Amino acid sequence: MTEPLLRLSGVTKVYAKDGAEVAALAGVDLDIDRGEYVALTGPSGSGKSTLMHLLGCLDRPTAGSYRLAGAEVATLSPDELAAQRRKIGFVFQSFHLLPGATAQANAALPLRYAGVPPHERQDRAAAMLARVGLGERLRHLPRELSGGQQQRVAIARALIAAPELLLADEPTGNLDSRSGTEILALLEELWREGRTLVVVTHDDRLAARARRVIRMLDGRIVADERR
Amino acid sequence: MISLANAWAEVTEPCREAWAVRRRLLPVVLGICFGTLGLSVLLAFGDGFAAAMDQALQRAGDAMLRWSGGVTSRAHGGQPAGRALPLLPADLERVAAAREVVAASPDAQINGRVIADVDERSANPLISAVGADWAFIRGVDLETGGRFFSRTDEQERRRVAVIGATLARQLYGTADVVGRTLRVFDAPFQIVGVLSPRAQMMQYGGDDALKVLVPFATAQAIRGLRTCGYVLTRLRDPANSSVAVTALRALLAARNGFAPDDLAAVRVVDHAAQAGQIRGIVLGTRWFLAILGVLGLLVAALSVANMMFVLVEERVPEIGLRLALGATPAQIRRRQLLETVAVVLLGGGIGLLLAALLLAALGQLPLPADARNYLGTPALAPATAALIASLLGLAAAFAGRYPAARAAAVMPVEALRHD
Ligand SMILES: Nc1ncnc2c1ncn2[C@@H]1O[C@H](COP(=O)(O)OP(=O)(O)O)[C@@H](O)[C@H]1O
Ligand SMILES: [Mg+2]
Repeated sequence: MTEPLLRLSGVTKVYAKDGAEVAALAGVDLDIDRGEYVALTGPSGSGKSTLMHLLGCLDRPTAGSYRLAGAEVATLSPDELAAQRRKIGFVFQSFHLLPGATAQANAALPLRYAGVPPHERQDRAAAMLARVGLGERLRHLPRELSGGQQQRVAIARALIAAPELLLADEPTGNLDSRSGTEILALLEELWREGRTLVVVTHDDRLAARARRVIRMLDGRIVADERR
Repeated sequence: MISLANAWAEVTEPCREAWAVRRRLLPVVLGICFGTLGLSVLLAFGDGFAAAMDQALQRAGDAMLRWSGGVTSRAHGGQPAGRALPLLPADLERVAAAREVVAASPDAQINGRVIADVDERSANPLISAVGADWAFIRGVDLETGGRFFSRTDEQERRRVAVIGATLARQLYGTADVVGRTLRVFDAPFQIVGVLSPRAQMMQYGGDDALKVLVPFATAQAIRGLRTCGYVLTRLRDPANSSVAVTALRALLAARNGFAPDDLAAVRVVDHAAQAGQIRGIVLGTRWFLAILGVLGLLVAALSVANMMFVLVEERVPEIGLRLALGATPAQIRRRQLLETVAVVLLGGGIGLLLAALLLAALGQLPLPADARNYLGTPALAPATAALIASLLGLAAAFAGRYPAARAAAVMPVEALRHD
């Protein structure tokens, strides 16, 4: 049997907070296969974001092993780590767009680091923004866009380099419910094209759309249901 | 084509980002600019001063020993102490033939009255009776249009004279002097040259610019001179002047029958050694100026490093985001380094330009000739500019390295703290 896309074993993450140690993750074992659609739920502070950051190679675990596509992440060189991040599309809860850059430039940013020539970056960013419904907003700055539109730019940015793995941390948390549903529909469309999708959400109604729902509490996985 | 476009973007994008924080970078650019300006002006003054001193020392006879007769301080070889020993033409011949000496000249100084052929103007200068090699030994040059007297002038005891520039102006005003007749020792002498009026150190018998020089042989014929006055020698190896002094003293001792270690019997002023000491002081001064300037530049570089650290800290979220989107730490480091280098080189370039302008303006200032003679004309020598440029490069590397390393060490998750 081949190894799953993601494999966490005994992963912990401990933060020092006001002198005391807080275990944001207290021993997580988790496998996710290629092409899965996973919803990650749990109360605030249960460690969902911490887990997502580890999955996205944006942070290091305190202990335990994380294997991504067969490679132990802790042993990767800085350049190999950067190459792994380029294969992951991360949608952050609070967008994280560059305030001084247009929608098009924001969406195109990952292509710069993927070594794509500038004119091709612009074309691909325009096409991706059109796909998320922002074809008319290429030259707008983030502050000239609504929250839902900003999140679409962030999704376009996450998708532009055609990543195998999509990680979305409460992508609808800052949006009204209609925009939230639209955004989720967009992510599901991309999942149907063959990508692996992990979405963090508080909303049970949205979680119910996933094929697998993982519930966290106090840094542990307390339920893992497949449908 | 593609890599060219990428390279272009690698340059233009940081420029745009730097432009966005121009208010923060401006003081840094100014700091480096003024640091460079200060260092450049200091070094340029050092260069100009050293060059001027070097010239003044050359015209002081920086390879010269100046001998004069003395009185024996003790008995030696059957001769009593207290014997006066003026230097005679025979002494001059012995010294001139020595291995250590490339040229020798007498210099007998006589106070006398001279009268110009214009308005009967007269003066009472020091009249020096010297040999044809005097100008070479002393290291002086002549104003254009004139010449020093020659061996033929000496052999034929011609009545020719060379006069100092200041005396020439006193006697003749602005008129041409060469070819005119000057009465010396109540006889008509033709002026063949004027000593150029530049700065001179280690004078003896007064300023050369106020002297009248005539051939020793001519003065001998008219005035019946018996002694040489001074004997000037130009050394083959001025760096080892003390060895030459000992050897020549032994020569004179043997001829005159005094003890070679009787220092009062014949006296010597070692211009070569004094010039070496003064050059040492000038060199020390230049090092002092250079160290001051480099310290100033170091302070500027530290302030650049500090400001760059602040900027990197402010950019941590943005840098974390870029890393999250796939930038390599090496790309982040290079970009940050490029910014520092650009800031330093911009400031340094403006500083060098301002220094060149300031020095050019100083060159136009109507300074007294004496000040200019000794201070020189400060100017940025290409070697000095190259030195400053490489110091700036060092400062940039030094100031850029650590902030860039900090930028490259950002964890992407630091971008997401406020989630
Ligand atoms: N950078 C940090 N420093 C200290 N504590 C942190 C940090 N990030 C998260 N935590 C703590 O770790 C726990 C889990 O946080 P998080 O993963 O953000 O939870 P969730 O996303 O489920 O709300 C919380 O108690 C939180 O306070
Ligand atoms: Mg969270």
